[in-house]
Amino acid sequence: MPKSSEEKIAEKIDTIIDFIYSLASGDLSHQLQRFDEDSNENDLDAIIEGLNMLAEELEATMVSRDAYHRTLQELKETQSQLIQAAKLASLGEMATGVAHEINQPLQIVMMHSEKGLENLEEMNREELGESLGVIKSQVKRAATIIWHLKAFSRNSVTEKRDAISINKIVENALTLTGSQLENQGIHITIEIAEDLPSISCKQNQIEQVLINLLLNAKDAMKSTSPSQLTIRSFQEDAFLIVEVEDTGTGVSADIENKIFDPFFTTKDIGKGTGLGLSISYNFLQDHHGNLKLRKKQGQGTIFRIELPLKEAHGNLSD
Amino acid sequence: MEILVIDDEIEICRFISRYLTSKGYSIESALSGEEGWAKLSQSQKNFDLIITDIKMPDLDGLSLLKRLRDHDNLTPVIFMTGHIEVKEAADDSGLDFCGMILKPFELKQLIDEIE
Repeated sequence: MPKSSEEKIAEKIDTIIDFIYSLASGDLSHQLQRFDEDSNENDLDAIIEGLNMLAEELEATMVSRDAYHRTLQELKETQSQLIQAAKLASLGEMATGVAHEINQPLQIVMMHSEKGLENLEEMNREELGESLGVIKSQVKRAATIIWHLKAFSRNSVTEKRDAISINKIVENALTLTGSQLENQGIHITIEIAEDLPSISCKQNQIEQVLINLLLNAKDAMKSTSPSQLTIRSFQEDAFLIVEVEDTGTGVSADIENKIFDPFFTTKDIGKGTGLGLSISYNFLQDHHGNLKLRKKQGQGTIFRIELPLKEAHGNLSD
Repeated sequence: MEILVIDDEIEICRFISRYLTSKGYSIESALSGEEGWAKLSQSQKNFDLIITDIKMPDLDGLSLLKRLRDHDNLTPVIFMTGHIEVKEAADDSGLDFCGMILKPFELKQLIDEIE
């Protein structure tokens, strides 16, 4: 028995509904055929046409989304590589100062060892004990420097957060750079507040920020006099603040809004990656903090690290 | 022989001074380039030899040597340094120094340089 027109329309509507369900389930690979031309079914064909266009748009969006995710993943991997490259550049810059810093305790160990070997028969227990004590303390001094270098060179992108004393981070950064700063004749003043609360942070990243600022300050003071570097830490409302102030050449107004841009540098070609401040800025943003350039009276620059305390007493994140 | 020993690392300065004294040398010491310059320019004593570190906070060893030569002080200078780059810089400086030893060095090397 031939189907009535109502039955035919109902069948076609069922077909359309089935197609809509298949679209919703993610099957975008099919298109609906138009029904036979019929003056009573133009509306259905219009719906089919619209659904077919929707299927095409959805498929294009899925492809774009997959490409977006791949690109995002590549960007993250590139970011990680750039961060490591910038860190290696910092390590290279520190190498000269660190080599001197390690050779000093090695020289002391050498001298006391030789004294002991040459004069073992004549030395009394007290003299021998004193020499051995000096050797032990100098070995620990060298080991501390090497430990700091190893800790700094670890990949900080995957680092977990811990509750850390900001003053400890300042101390670690100065252990790695202090020799270089002093050898350039820079006078260092440390004004750190005691009893600051711990903050939840990636220690390696914040140390890298501080080391970048210290090395930049050193470069800024290469040809200026006096050479005064001041590091201060304090709490301000809900933030821990670390400021690095120098008496160097300063930052001119025309580049103030560029200094945090990736690859921007005022150093000669081959002397700087232009990534230090950019990466430092991003590290602090990741901590919901900030890195700012502050105006100061007179010659030089103040860079200000701001870290929120809000996670200090909560659960560790990341 | 009158020797002035200059090093900002107090343990190194003190040990070398004592060691050289035990070897029969007459030693004075300074813990910075500027202190060394003060002893050289203000003391009545004429030193036969200066043994000095290079990398020091206030007045580095190369600058001290240049200042000596600019003031017609021809006292021989032996440099000590822990930096290979600084050694190369000293070699390229055109300044006349009579010896260079790299830290960490054996005490016998120091005696050999002096002699």
